[in-house]
Amino acid sequence: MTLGQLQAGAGHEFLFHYTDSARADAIIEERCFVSGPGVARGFGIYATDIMPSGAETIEDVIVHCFGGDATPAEVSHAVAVRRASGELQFEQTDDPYQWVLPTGKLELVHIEGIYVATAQFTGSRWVVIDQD
Amino acid sequence: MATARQDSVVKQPVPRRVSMSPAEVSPELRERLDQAQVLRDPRVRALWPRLKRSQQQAVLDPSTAIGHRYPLSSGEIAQLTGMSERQVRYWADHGLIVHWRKGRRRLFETVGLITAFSITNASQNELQFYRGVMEDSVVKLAAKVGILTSLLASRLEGIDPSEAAELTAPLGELTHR
Repeated sequence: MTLGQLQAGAGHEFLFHYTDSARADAIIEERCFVSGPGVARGFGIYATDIMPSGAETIEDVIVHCFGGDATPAEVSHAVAVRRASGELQFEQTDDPYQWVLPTGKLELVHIEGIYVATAQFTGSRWVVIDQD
Repeated sequence: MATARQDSVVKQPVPRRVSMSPAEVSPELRERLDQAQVLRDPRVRALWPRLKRSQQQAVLDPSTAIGHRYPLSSGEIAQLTGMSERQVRYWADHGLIVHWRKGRRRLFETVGLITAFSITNASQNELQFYRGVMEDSVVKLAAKVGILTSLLASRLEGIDPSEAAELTAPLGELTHR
């Protein structure tokens, strides 16, 4: 899976869950996602159709997905997930940039079947570091 | 013949297993996820803009210099920051460089490198000040923080409210304790 293929599928096939290094490792190694309460909906895995494409992506994600309340280190990894897989389906929120996969009250969720790949921001560009 | 028959069979795609369940994680991963939570603390967020560009770059991608992803060892933190390993251990053991332990080893995540760079950027006078207050009792430390808070409040007059809110966010965290 190349960065170009991830970008080509952004929005209709794939969504991107932006997170930090340790949480990305938890997803890569154990398919373990940290669920959180969002403004738009309750607990869930939040993702966006903003694709990793350049240095400006970091700022876009911080502004549009975190209301400006995050640092680049918190969103340095873009975990590509399938928008729908089996019975699991990300639902679009009222926010045009935000989708959510509801997880009930679970804070740590093991999810099989939605993971596609992970891209890391190196400070100047995005590099795919892992794929399913 | 047997091979030919096998080749002629149309391969069916293997259905993808899809499931969601509560995750049970190893103690090591739990420690790493706890560190990720500290990364989102307003006190840590306030440190990010004060790092040099090269330091921010190293935080985002330590593998360029170190050759692997987080977690980093004390020696690797020393290599990235220019501190000695002894200094790294000193500040870590006094709680100023955030870390976790695996057995006897101190391990550092993103938040650890950010706090380590912040120590590196501090002047000798500031470090001396930190060393001094580290020895203070909680009562004495609280009294000093009280004086500094009053000083900060007087200086915030005339500053844009949103900037003031950003600057004082770390203090607000104290009320959640």
